[in-house]
Amino acid sequence: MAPELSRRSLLTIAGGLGAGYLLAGCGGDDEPSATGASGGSGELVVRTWSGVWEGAVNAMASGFESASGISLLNDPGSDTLTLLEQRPGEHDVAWLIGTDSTRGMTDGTLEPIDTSRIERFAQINSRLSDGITQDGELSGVPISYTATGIIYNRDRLGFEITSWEDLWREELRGQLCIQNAPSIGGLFLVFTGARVFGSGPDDYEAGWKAIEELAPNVQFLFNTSSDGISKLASGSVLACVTIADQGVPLREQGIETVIPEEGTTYSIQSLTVPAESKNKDAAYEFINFMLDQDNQVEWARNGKAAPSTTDVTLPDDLASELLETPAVAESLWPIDWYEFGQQIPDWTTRWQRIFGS
Amino acid sequence: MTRARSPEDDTTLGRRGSWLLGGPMLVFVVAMFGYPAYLVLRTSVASGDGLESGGFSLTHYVTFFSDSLYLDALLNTFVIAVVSTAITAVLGLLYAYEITRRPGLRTVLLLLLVLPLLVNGVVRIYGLQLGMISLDRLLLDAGLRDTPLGLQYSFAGIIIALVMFQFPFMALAIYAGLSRLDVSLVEAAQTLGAPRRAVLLRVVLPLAVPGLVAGSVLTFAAAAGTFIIPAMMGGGRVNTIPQMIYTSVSQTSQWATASAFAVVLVAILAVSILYSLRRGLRSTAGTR
Repeated sequence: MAPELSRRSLLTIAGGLGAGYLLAGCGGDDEPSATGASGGSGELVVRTWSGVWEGAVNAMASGFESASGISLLNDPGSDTLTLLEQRPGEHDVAWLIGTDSTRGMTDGTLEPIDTSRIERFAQINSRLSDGITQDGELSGVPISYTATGIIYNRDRLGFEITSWEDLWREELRGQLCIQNAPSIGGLFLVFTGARVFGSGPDDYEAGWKAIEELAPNVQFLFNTSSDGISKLASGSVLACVTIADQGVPLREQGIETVIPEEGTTYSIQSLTVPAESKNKDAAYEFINFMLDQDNQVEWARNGKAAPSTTDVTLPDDLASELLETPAVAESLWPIDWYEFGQQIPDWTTRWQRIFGS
Repeated sequence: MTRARSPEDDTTLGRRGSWLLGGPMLVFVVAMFGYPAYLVLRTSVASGDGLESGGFSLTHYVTFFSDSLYLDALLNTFVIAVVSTAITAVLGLLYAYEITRRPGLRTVLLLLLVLPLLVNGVVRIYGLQLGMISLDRLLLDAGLRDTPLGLQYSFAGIIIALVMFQFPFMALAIYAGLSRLDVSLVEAAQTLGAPRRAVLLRVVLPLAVPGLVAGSVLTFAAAAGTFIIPAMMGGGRVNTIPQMIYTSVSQTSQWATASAFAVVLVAILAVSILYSLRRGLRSTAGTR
């Protein structure tokens, strides 16, 4: 009897485990996951970046769920466009930067935004949306943006930086860090060089000549923006070109941030709709939710990025943490993200020839 | 009536058993290595640059071998791998020998070797960078130097980080061989008047060769294939092939270009490692 009982017990346990796995598999949709399978009309799968952005989306999720009755599944990570291409239909809305949203439109991964469904489209800063529009088709809806600035240690540098031109000064030799290509933060300096030293915004050759002349001042190129800031804070460099708002927490350490008055480049965080999205209605509902005035403030607070809409007034405590004032919003240099995205492969190779050994 | 099992039956059963046991592993290797390797190879000779591009073209290889940017990156990768392997081998041999020589300290020395492996790699790189910053400050404040050493964001910085990362693996691989060292051989050599260096070179080193070969293969492959260390320690100033692969895929989705670079890197790694193994095994055979 004993062996039979043992075998039966074993079968029971095995059956239980199998059933458990099956049930777990069926119930898996309740949890945000990398696979993030989209459900019916009551479910929205959002793709965003990891880190600060992931937390920001999580913070906004409950408000959206209460307002819409749609459950939000957050699926953060990198290489979003590649993911959307390779796993179509799994995401309903995705955060992308300008170069990626325009590339997604070109290759058909994203569908053009139906602007008639965006309730506050007219309130979006046109400088942000124009660059991601081609033939009247918008690749994504700008929700926020971050301006590029120069963050520096004034005491150790010995002079005040007021202009982009200052980056080329002799005092900064070997004391500057900028973002590495193919990330857009470093390549922005080609635009800067073209405007400051060339004949105009399209004078890219002048921009590249300026980059060659800037190279001796560059100590290192960083791959993650936090790396540049941490080296500046530790004192191993005197200045860093990166997202301006990253310099705000370093004020107490004597680190200053400037967005030069002549204008600046910027990165946009836009919401895009994948062509294979299974819940486009919910996607548009989420975009409208994110553009709501109160939610723009909340997003700015959680995402540490300036609102894309022009009629939002930030409370004083938040305004002191974001350097993108209305004046800055007016001074953003127009960027054609379609053209920029196409240039990135060649520009990256050129960049590597200048900076790499 | 049952027939007695013949030796032929046993052999057949044995063969089936081997296949049954080895089958899952074979499927695993084909699925996890063979198929991706085939895809990379196939993509590298595609006529376009996308993942789905068909056709046949050697354009991506021609691009690689005709551009000094990529050839310099290949040379950098190779030099970094060779130099870091050589330094790690010397340090690993000395450390492993000390573990063998000092049985009383063996546990402590082994623990010291393994402990860094418990710390996340990125944290270790940041730690190393902060250490270099502190060293620079110390030397500048003490007036011993006018300018920083320049170890950060340089070739030297990458080598130092690689040695730091691979040292435990090298030392453990050598120690695995040396742990079987008959100490009486060392004592006999010393009794006969052999100086310490001669003991190390003529008695210990030959016995350590298998471990050295194993450790060197691991270190060389890791050093040539690493992306994160040159990316963080090189500061974008030292181009290597893994960085070129990453750049080609991230943001620009040049899959075929990246695949061709990967095939070139693997081919050179494979040739180098096979050559080292042959040389190493020949040396080991000589010691037996």
